[in-house]
Amino acid sequence: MNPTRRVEWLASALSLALLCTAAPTSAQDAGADPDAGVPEAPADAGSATAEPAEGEGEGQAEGEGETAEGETAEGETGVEGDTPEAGGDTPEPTAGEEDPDEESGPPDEPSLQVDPRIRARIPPPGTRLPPELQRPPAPPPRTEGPQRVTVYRDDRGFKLQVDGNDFMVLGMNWSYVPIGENYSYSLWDQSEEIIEEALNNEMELLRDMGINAIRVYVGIPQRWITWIYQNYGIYTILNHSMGRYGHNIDGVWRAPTNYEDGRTREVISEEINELVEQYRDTPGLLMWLLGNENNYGLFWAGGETEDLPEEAQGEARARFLYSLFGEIIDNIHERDPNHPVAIANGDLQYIELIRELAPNLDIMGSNVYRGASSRDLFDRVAEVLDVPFVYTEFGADAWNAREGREDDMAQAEVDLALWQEIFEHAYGLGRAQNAIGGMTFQWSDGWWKYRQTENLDVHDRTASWSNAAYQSDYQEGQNNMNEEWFGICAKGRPDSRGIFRLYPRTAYYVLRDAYRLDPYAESITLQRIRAHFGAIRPRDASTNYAAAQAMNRIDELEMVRMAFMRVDLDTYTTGGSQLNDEPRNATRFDSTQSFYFGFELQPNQRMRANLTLNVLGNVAQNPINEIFYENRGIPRTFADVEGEEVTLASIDRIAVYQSSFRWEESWFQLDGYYRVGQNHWGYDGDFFNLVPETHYGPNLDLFNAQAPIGFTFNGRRELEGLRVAFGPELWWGANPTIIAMYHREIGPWEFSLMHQEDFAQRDAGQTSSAVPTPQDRRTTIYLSRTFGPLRIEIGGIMAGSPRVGREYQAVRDAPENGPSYLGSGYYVIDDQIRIQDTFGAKARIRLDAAPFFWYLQGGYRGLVADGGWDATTTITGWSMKESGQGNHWAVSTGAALNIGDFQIAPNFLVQQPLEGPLPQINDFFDRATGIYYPGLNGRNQLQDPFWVRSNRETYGFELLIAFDPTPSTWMWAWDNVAREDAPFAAFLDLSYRIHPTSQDAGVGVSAEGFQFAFPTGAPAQDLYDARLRTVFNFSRDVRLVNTAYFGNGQANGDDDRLVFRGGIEGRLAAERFVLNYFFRIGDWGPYDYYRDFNQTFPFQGMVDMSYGLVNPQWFVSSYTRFGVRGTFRALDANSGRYQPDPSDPDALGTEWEVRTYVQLSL
Amino acid sequence: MYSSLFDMRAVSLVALLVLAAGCEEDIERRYRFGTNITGIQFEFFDENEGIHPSDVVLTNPNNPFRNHPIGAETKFEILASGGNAGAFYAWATLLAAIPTGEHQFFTAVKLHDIATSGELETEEEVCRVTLMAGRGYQVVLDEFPDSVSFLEDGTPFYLAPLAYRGIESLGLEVQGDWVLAVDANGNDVVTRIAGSDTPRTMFPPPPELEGFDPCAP
Repeated sequence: MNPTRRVEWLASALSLALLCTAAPTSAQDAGADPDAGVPEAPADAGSATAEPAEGEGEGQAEGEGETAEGETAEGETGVEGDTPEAGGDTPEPTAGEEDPDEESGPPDEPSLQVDPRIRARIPPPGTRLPPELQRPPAPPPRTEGPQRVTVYRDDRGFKLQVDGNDFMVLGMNWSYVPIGENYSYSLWDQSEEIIEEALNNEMELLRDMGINAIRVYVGIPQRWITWIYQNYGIYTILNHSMGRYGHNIDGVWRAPTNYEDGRTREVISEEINELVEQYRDTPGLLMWLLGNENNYGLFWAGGETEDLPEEAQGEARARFLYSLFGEIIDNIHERDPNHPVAIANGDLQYIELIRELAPNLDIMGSNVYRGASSRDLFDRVAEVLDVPFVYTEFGADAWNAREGREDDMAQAEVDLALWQEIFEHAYGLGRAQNAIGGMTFQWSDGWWKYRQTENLDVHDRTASWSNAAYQSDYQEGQNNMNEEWFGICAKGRPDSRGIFRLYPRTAYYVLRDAYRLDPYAESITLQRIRAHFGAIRPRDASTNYAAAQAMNRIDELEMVRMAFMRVDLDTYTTGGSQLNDEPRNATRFDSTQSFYFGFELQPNQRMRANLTLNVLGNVAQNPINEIFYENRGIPRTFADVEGEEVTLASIDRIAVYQSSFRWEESWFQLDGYYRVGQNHWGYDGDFFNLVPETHYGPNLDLFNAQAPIGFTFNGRRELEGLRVAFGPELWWGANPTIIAMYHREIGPWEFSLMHQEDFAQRDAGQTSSAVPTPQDRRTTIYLSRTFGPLRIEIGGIMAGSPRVGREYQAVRDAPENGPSYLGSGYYVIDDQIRIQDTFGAKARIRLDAAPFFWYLQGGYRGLVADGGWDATTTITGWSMKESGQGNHWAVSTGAALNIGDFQIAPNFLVQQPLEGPLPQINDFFDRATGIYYPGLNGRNQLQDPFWVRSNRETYGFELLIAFDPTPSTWMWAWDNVAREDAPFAAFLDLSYRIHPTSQDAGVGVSAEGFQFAFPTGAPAQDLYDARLRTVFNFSRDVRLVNTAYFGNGQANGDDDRLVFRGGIEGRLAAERFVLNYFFRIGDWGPYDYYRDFNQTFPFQGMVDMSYGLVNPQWFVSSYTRFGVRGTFRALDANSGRYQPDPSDPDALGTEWEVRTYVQLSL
Repeated sequence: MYSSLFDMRAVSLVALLVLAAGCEEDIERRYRFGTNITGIQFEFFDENEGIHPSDVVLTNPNNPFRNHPIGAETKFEILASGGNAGAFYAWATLLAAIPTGEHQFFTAVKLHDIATSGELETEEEVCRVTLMAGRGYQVVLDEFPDSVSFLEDGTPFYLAPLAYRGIESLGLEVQGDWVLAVDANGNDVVTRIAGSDTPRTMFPPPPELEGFDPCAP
């Protein structure tokens, strides 16, 4: 495409988008009265006729051709008035031709000044229907009292009636979840202003499409049901899931729901009774809907059904489910005579049980995914059940998994065909005559649906299940159903309030046209329905979506665009007393300017990349925390070739702050990253935690770390389950390495095999927590299986083989009062690493018998069989776990009991190193004999093949007590501070660790960047720790989170002073005002080296107040705001910079900083 | 088909691992009693052994100190009474772990002693160790010119002049622009002649000597 044509095309696309989205969704709707509920269809809507469409529509029309001829298209559904064309011969307007009807248009359209060539491409606005076949306008909304909704039946079939008027359910599965959020988001928790704006956006589009009912889960307040009805004429079908994904039984979240359990049945039943009594008189309520494919979730453990043969368990459990349905339906009938009750079954499974156990069901509803035709579904319902049928879910996704592209056409064609079937099976048409409508799945794309808590702002293209009925992208053995692409509308990114824009796909327009037909018109016939649907052409309507996409992606189509800019302007005023660095005692002022520029690159839809650059202005030299991201730019002094000192004031002004890319193909996904955190693989079969989590938070910036950097390959299709990571520093301090994992499920077994190969030894780390481990080679295998409520996991590891043959020392206790090495009380052994020292194994059993949970874990690791720290959650948020290092065996067990809103969870750990730490023994040279007796120091990570640190001897007890009235967001979850939705929740974690022996030596990093081993490690010492976190949600926009802690602790280095520390840290967010603070007593300072060298402060305090342009998000630290932060420290002899005053040896030093900051995030 | 292929590979890998576990040579575990270091002989291992920044001494199996920390007092006792070879290995090990002028100087002193004590068997060995000692002294000048050591009474003394004289006493020529002078107190000092472009160090060998082996028989 040459540049001129490209510009023309863009102009066309933009104009179309304006025409189709900024204005009412089509020409004929422009004049509709917004208060009139469902808009009246136009009398004459353009040039389209009853010409049979391509594909299915055409085939169906031809199939009935002989009957249709003479009385359908040409005579009635055909052209109206003086339009000269006739029926199927009507030519479609083509580019360059002008349609007189289109030219005249509604009165407000000419102001758009649309190029005539573009107008010619506007899809036909619907079939031309004679007035008697047009869906009549809805009656004016009622202001009080419930509608009387009834199922009408006679010998011509079933239909639904609202206040005596025929009503086909032109329904939609509707929810409101902005990109970046998931199931835990609730629109109803937002401010009234936001709810109204969101509903106006959504309901206007729904109404204009012709939707007259939405399916909504309980949680929607009554007032909004009525508001939607009164403002848009749209009814609400209120859906209670009946424990589909678990249920809160007496304060305990139980999943899966056990319908066999009497108390569970009672709780669900009572809950629905209360719901009905509260909502039954709500204007706008259409019907009650129970469940959501609950027949697919009959997997509870325990009860009588568990003893049945496996093949009999399903039906036995289904009987419990449907008998509960039957009871609840009767309960609702007793309480509400005005609204019918439907269920949302998974297809027609157990339909005979439904007849037997729920005899008073009013409407049979099913979620059905049978492709473009549901075949005998209506007949089967008619045959078994004497009730009408409504689809509670059906439709198609808009992603072609086979070709790796969006396919809105295929979605539209399936949806259109299915709706035609509904119309054909409606009342009085001679077929099943039991269809009363459907609820298309779904209104807008759910970006959260794949993996549900990860990548919430990524529109995932991973197909998660397979369905051969969707032939457009089905391939045998491959998944083709893309959960995140079922929207009738695509979704735009939200603004700071969660408001987003929708981009109707082709299905929107074709269904809008389809809904114009009145299925209950007196003169309706099958042939007229077929002619009407046959005339709707998805391909023409797809232009609308293309235009909307163009608008959505106009920026993205640019190869490179500037995605954001951030400006940080900080000032620092600092001072202190009794500091050994004399200039710090004076009051000093300095400032920092730091600028971030983010670029986004998208060469095509399969590739997206991001690059963020940081540019420095001045860098303050006086902050009391001397290590920070921008300090790379402070002036530095070097010696030149002559040995003269030279100071460079402007170095490292520009740096790459972050970069990442994602390349997606149908058979793989390749991610590259630099300083962008990655998730661990612990939940995908990495049983020994070889791949750690790399979301380092602010520490990464503090130390200006260059990690993680690497690539991750995720296989798809034939390569599904294969994952490979490769890079120079995949996690902070990692050696250059490659890790491959193959993970899959084989029958009931879950299996994974991993291998890691380090290519080289990294020289040095930037801080003691990122010191490289010895170059390694590691292989692990993992197997797990679930038996009812028990899950059993076993695994083996072989690691450290490059260290085989390396020498090490160990000690053995010498007999009391007997001879020993240099009188130390020990024998000293010189030995070498053997191959058997590279092996390890681990096993874990978990019992999930809600409300009681239990686990038992045991592990053995050879001397060098090193894995990693376990970042996964076992049952609850315990902090005490066995070490990931080699050289130990460990057994741990814990249990959790949920009682009401409380969880009580004790946990125990016994851990023993195979070879204990080395004592310090000074060497000795006997001049008389010439014999040298070497001494011993603690082993360390730099010089020894293994060491005793986190794997030290431990007898530990931990008790976790949580109070959380909303247990689906447990208090101990990592992101709970952001997601906790209870008015008040808390957890207390107490731990006590007995360490009868010492540790080997730690590794420190000097101020010059050299790493070194301390001579010894921490001595034997029992340690305890208490931590209490509370979350208060005073209102929707006011949240207070506090964490208080207390305990003792040991240094990482060789200082044996025991530290007693405690403090409180918290955050108060009140709309746009944020208060952060901490107060710490006796604790270490903010960097690793404070703990390495055991440098503590008698007191540290910080208060930070800021006011933002928008309400802050909890984990987003950078947004437009200004604020001030005060930091204060008291110093004593244990604080690094302290200078004692000889005249007053007990006087404390001080160190303070007042920082002002303005952040502009654009 | 792909999945079966992967399964087969997985089974094969596990089988290999199991087999590998059974292929271990017998390794003896030894209780430690001490080593007579006065009796050990110097064996030529690497021409850079004991010369900063090389740490090759840590891999020399003849070095009895390679895996052991050496105490701050013990090292002087070994220097005095541990024999030339034993003291060399002790101080070279210290130098590899903690590069200081003192460690480099006394390592060079012990190489000097080994070269001149007659304990080496061949002229070639004497030549090589002599050169190593000279290079060790030269590193003191080039890398640690301000280093000091202490007498037993705590009196400090500079090492660079001693290193300078050590090179001379070996019959070698000091490299670079160093000159020996006397300060106002009559003490020896070494200093540089500014502007000289003479190569500063013998390690690595200057380009013009590359490939030249002065000790070849």
